[in-house]
Amino acid sequence: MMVNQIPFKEFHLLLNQGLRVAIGPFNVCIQTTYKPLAEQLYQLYRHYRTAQNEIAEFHVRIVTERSNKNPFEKNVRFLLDGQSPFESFPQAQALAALEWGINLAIAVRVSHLLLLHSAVVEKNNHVILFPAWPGSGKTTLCTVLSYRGFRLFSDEFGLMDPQQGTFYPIPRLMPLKNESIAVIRNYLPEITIGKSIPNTQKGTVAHACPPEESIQQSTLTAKAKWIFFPKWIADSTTKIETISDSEAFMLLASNAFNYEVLGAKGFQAVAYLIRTCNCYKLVYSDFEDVMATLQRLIDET
Amino acid sequence: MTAEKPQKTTETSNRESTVSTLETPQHTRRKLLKGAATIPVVMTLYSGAALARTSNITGEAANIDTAVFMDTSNGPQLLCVFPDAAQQQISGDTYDLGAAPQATLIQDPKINPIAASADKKKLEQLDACHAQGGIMISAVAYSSIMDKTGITINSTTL
Amino acid sequence: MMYWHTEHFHTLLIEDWGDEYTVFQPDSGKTHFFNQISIQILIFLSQHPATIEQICTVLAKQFQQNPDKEFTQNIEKILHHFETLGLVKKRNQGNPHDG
Repeated sequence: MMVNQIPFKEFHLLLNQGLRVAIGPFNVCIQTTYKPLAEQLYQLYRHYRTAQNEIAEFHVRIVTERSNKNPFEKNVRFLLDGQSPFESFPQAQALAALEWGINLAIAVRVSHLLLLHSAVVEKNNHVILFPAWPGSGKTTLCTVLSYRGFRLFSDEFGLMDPQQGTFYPIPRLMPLKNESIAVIRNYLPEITIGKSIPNTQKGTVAHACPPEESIQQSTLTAKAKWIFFPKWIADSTTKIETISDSEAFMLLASNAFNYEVLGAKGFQAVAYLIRTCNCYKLVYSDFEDVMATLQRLIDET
Repeated sequence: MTAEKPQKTTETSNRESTVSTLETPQHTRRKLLKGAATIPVVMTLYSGAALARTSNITGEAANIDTAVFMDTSNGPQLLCVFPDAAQQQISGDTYDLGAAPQATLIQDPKINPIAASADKKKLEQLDACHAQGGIMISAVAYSSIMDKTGITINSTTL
Repeated sequence: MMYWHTEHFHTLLIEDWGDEYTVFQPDSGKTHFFNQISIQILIFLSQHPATIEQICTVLAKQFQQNPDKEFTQNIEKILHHFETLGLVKKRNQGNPHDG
């Protein structure tokens, strides 16, 4: 059953007890009694499948607590399996705390897959990776691509099965930051974006919904064919530069969350990716321009 | 791993090289290193950096050679960072340094960097760090955390 | 005489990217980038222990270089770095095949 098939009252009740939703290859059990968060999740998670009777890999909670600094204020705290990896957040940042927390859970708990810090989309049954560090604009680019003919796998994680060489989709809310929020609201006025959350650790954040089709197709895996190391530079024309295999290897391996944990498996998985993919550095600023360039490369190969 | 495309892997265990005849993607032979072909170069990859970039959660440096030593007037001193006591640490291999990471420099034993005993003394500084509940972090994790929140070093001997 | 030899060379995973190499070292769990000359040092030492002079003579010939002081210093420096990484060890003895 999809979240949008449940009346809000029932959804809220499920959240109080622990709502299980299927997010890519994982089920996440989310529990909160904080109603404003329930309202946001009801809007932004509406296309996700509920998984009440299935095993959940991650159990996360958002609880309210009295602020230490101001006893008349309340904060929210993220809990993963009952443990608190972060400081508490202002209540208005509950959604951001939940989304970061789930990311952290994936990053520190998943050890059977190679976890690349990468935006991932699919085209013509092949995955395109955009491995990048924060601030490179990968979420913004990924949001645009996923609403313009590319299937969203993730704006944050490249989840690769090191045995099969395939990637798992994990389409989650895409946290747009600062200037990107207005840019995307203007460029993609039709898409659902949650309300802006100011003053977070990363500035203002607003969460874009993944396309419904991407969520529906999130069981369809694919192998990678292209790797672009992206960089957004204001007013630049789109530039694509091939890079050497050895450089691509070092960039990709250092970009993974758990490369060292996987040991030889991680090394072989990265080597496999480099051997089977075309690797480029990508500089861009204009969405139309970058999409045309990507399409041309895809058509050529 | 099922490789559909070309394989050119040297297995040192049996000293065999296998190269498939399949077409490779348009792989460039441009080099990571330009020039300097006759100077031997080895670079070691420091991973775990991706995790450090997204939070102040990091792992302990893999070995003493990758740890951060600050040059002080009293010789190199190990940067010993402290997992945030206010946070419940979420797994055995990763440590949450909190929103305002704290560190100290280990002063004893004093290290003479050119003496043969330097390596041994570095390990003794690490023992002293562990005894205080601290960990060593890699240079990459250090620069990543410095970029984001900085690290307060509580020391008077810098 | 100081002889250099490799440590657990047979356990290394080596990917050849065309004159540049990535090497996984299971003992340390580390990945290293090697250029052509540095991997050749390791391969040479995996075949038989050698002194610095022997290594320099072979490599100078292989890479058409003058085995001058600078060349020798570079090789010596990398050997010590290999030693730190646990890739090679040195042994002080008359006949390298005795021990």
